[in-house]
Amino acid sequence: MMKRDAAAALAHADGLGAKVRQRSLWYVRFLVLYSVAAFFVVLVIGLNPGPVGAIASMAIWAPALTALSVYAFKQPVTRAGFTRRHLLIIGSWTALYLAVLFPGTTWFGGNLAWWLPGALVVALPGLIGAYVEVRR
Amino acid sequence: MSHPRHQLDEVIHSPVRFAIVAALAAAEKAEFRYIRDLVEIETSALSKQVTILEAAGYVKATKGYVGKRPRTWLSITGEGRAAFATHCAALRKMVEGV
Repeated sequence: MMKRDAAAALAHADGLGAKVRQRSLWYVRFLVLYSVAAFFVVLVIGLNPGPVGAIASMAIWAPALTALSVYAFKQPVTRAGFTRRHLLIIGSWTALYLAVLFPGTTWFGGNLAWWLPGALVVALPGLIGAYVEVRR
Repeated sequence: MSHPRHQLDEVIHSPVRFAIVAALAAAEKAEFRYIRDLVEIETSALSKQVTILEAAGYVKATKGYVGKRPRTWLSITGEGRAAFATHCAALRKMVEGV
């Protein structure tokens, strides 16, 4: 193998890797849509105390999660390290969701001053994850 | 035996297998059809090359379904990733004239 063949092989490998990473960017859209849905779910629960809020939030969450799951399952490729990063994001989201929801439903029902920042905080893991994916 | 070409991996050295492994190295998993189209080879040719890469322990093929459609997913193993890294390091040495 000649020097120029080696250089061409490396360039080819870089090009293929770049195409795979580009095709894996569907996950950015997934995370942004997930974050938007999570934001509204928290707001709806918080600003409508009681069963109305719970039912209305499920009316947003269930179709959103179904659509996102179908979208994810149809993708032909995931980037290296996908599972680790996804678990980290979903784990962070779960912790923040519970940290906002429990005090909120106990002491701050209907209080916009709690629920609006809370909804933003819950949306953060997905948005940060999307930003990091784009930057990689 | 100090020339970097001696460090090239014989399995990955084939241009088609090199392309398959290069694509899979950037992915956690990829659909068989996606890799086929990306590498621009026929289905039967990819099957043959994947069989060789599987036998070497470099690639794993997993069958599953998306809805009712059968799909085959390809992923690179830890051994395959290490072999690809060593192969690329040898190529870089050749380029640098080490």
